[in-house]
Amino acid sequence: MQIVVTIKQVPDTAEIRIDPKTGNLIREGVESIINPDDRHAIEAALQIREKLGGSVTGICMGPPQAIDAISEALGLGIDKGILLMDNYFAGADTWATSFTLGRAVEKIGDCDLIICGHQAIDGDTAQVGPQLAEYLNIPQITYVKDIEEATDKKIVVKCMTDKGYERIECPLPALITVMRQLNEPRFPRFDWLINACREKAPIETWNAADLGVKASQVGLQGSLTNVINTFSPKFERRGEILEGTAEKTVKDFMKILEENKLI
Amino acid sequence: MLRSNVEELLKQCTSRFVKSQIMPQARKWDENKQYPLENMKKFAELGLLGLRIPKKYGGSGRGLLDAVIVLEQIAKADASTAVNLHVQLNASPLFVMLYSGEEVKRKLLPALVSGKALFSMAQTEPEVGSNLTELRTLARVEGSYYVVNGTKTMITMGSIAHVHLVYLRFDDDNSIGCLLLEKETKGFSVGKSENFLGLRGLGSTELVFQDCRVPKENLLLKGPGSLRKMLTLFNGTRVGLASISLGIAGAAFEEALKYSKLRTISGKPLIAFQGLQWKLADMAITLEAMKHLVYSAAKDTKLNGFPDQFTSSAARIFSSEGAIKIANTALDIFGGYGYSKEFPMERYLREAKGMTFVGGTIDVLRNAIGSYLSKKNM
Repeated sequence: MQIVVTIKQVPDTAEIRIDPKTGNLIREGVESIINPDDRHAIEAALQIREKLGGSVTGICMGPPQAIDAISEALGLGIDKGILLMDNYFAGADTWATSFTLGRAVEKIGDCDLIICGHQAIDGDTAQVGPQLAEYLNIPQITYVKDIEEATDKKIVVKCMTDKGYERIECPLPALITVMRQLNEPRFPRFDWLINACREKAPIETWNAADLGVKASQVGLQGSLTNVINTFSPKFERRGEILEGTAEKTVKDFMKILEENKLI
Repeated sequence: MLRSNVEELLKQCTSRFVKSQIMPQARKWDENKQYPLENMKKFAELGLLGLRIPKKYGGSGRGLLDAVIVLEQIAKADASTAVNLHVQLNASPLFVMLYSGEEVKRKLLPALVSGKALFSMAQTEPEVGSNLTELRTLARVEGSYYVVNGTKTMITMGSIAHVHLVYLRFDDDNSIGCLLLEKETKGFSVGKSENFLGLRGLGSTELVFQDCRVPKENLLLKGPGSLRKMLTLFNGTRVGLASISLGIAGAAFEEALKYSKLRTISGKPLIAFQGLQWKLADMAITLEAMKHLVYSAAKDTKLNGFPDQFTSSAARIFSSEGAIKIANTALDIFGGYGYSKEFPMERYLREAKGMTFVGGTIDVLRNAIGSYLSKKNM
């Protein structure tokens, strides 16, 4: 079983702050981590490999410091890491990212299963997994919360829906996006982390030329969306005192809730 | 070729592990005076116990610097766990690596890496403390055995360790040396357990040796030059201990800084008051100086891979005392909350105080520095 896991390096913060002047994420003083959902994806891949054999390759698109995400993934036990790094890749929206990852998967070749985290904590779009599957023209199952069975030919999973879950059987190759309910990710081994920093570590760096893509297809230029403005939402506290009898104030209160579409 | 910085990666990954697995339980271990055995199991599973063990015995073959990085992060959550790990990384197994025969190395070092052979370092004695030159535990030569008699006290992991590295005196040549004594040895027993003010998860106990017969292959050091070799190795262990004080101080400072920004008095955060700013400034300065001393000592390998006596002693003395000052001020910044067991500030202070005693009191190290200075040509 040849498995590819997509890995994103994100700022480690639940409360992402945005510079009001530039609209950029404030990364100063914020540690970078493997996107939490991607840790579950890596764990799922490792568990399948432990059962069926094969290999797990991690791919990550990002700046040079994203090498730490690859190294940590090697510490967790993936067999090989590929960092997609090129100035042309910068500023990619979800489509340009999916396209670039797709070209990398094609270059890796003979992949049976792609596992992605459900979404990244910095973007929250949950679009890259599905778009990657579309680009590769393979089946996709999103919101996976349980992997019941995995063989060389098929995968049987439970995926979350609004009303409960669906049980889906799917032939391989396929792509799944996984939720945090799926598993409990392991911690990296110290000896493997150390090995991941050695020159002989199984890490490759691929640029636009390696993927055979043009600047116009990737990064900002290849993006189909255009971010006009980014801002932190303002939360204002307003107070209103309702006066009168209990009956009246309850009626007034219900009216306010209705007007604000809260009920 | 693009590769991660190994030290930075170890720091970040240890920090994440510690926050998730150790920090949430540290208070419980402290209150229950509980040796957290599960931590050693986890360290073994993660390959951490082999950090400094050569690759041929299943380890990673790394140096003191990496151990210091890891210990500092662990000490931020639980100094007892850090001390227990320190003994495995920087103390007894290094003696085995340097002075054991190949057969003993093959037996014990892979067992340490897998967590099946944990070590203690049995130095302190009830009557002479940690003064090596006056040790009273005695080894008598009898055929192919050493027969050991004596008592050790306050031995970290005394009740847990599978192998005790025992410092003692040999009766035939009156030299100071050390040997390995396995816990199954007839005549060996674990005595009373210590009830310390802080560092309550050390599993610290008395060890009693009554006619314990130790095979000669378990000998590590004996005869002329042994004491010097032991002291050189201690230079490294001091830096490990200093890094634990650094971790305690770092945690106390970070908590105090965070609190001083959140806690408001008369509508202003504590940090807006100059009196508090000055306290925090002094803490930050001390912490920074501690970091420099500890890390420069950890990088010092001029004595066959070990730091020298001055560098290592200075790092330990300054860090131990600095940690007490920082933890004490951090507690003050928390006010009454700092004195409550609901918050970790009082534990940091108890741990910081304990670190002035673990591995020998810091005043003894002042003697060492004095001796060093008296011989130095200015």
